[in-house]
Amino acid sequence: MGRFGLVLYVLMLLPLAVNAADVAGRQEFVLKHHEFQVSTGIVPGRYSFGYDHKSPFDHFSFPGIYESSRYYEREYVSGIWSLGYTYNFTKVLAIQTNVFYESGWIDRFSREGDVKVAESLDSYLSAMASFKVSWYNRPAVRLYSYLGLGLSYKYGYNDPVNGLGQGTRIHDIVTAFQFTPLGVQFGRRLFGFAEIGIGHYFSGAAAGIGYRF
Amino acid sequence: MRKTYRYMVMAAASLCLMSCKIYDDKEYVQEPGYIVAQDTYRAYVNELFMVAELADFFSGYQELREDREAAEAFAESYFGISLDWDSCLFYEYADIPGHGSISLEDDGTFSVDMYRHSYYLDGGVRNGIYSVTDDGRAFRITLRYEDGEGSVPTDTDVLTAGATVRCEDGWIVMDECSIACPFQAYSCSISSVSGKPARRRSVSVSDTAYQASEGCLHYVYSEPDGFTDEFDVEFSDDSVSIVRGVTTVRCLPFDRIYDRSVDYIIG
Repeated sequence: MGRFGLVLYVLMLLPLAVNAADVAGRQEFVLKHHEFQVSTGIVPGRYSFGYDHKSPFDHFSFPGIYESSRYYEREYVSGIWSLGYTYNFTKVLAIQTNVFYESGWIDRFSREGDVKVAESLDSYLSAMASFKVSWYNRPAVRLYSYLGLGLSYKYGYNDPVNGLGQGTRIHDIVTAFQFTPLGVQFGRRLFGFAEIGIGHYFSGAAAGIGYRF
Repeated sequence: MRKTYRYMVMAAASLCLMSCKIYDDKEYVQEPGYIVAQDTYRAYVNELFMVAELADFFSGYQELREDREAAEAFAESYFGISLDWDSCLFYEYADIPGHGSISLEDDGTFSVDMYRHSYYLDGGVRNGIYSVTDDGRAFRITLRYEDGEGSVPTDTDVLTAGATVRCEDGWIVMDECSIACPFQAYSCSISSVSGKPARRRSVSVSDTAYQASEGCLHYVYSEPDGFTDEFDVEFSDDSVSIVRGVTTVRCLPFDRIYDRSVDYIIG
């Protein structure tokens, strides 16, 4: 559907948030200490860490371009997926923890026989703890910001041409950070949320649903 | 409120589904013959057109050179640029920025330097200079090499080029052409096709003259491992076609493409 569709969806959610805030304005905020969330990056939904796919082809010199022309590629991304738990100490201060995953991979095919001949993969499994401040709290709407630090396990490989499965496997631990200046939650026990931020969890926008108790 | 939650869950689920998708189908090099033709046209073929243009201009200039005002007006009209002609236009030498330099030799031939083809050979620099002979009907162009001492190298791993080109009615017509690039990583030969001379508009009538508008060139490309590719390149105003036997791949014109990854195939 593309980015226009994403914007439409977010705009659809705004009237719901306004409605929730309207109702909530007549009641007091009740703190729930525990929250579970599941979310995904929506804009752009990839490349938070960047992918280091090393092409085995030289696309810019004459012997290289003839070899390049014998193959084609398909690039995939998994999207960014996160499971999180937040403990609200007070209605303002909280610690959020989440585990998130994203990966990108390329399948390379030989035009002759349409056979897959190589793969390239970059994947990141990360764990992060964030210091979260909720600076606007109504029964059904909360606005917040958070800053997080964590570690990520990187796994990847780049197969040589016609060497499917022969690429050296790379294992690495890298640091991860996240700064989300604005997030909005709407709902009571079951809530939806949308955030904008920059970092290794997501750079752009993320959205999801959660449950608090 | 339950309906509200249902809509929120539906919206969030749809957003999640949109995150997982094929990002891109990559086909970097769809027609390698186009890349070969594009690069060799820029480096070698168009140069022959430009050499003929310079010779055409300088031939006409010789008849006007005593009348400085008329000569400068002719130069401005031909190239469509206004220059400090006192610093670049002389009786027997001219250096036109963006077009090359031309000298009138004692034997009446022209020597044209395009400042491009220099090679380090045998410990010295050999500069490629085009010799141009006007036989009254066409310009005969041959690429030769000078090393400062006037000797001609016998090495074969350098560019060789020659052509017979007419300039008439605002067109530059390459009746015959032979270019050979016997380089280490690949070799490529380009030759004219009988009955289909490549022709392009002269800069004297068109500010954007670059790619040939009509005609055909024949390419033979080969690599050290024995791989070969042979095809014709057919020119038109709005396209370049790579022809292999009965198969034709129609592509965007050369002067519109700068990025190798752009989708240049149009039919």
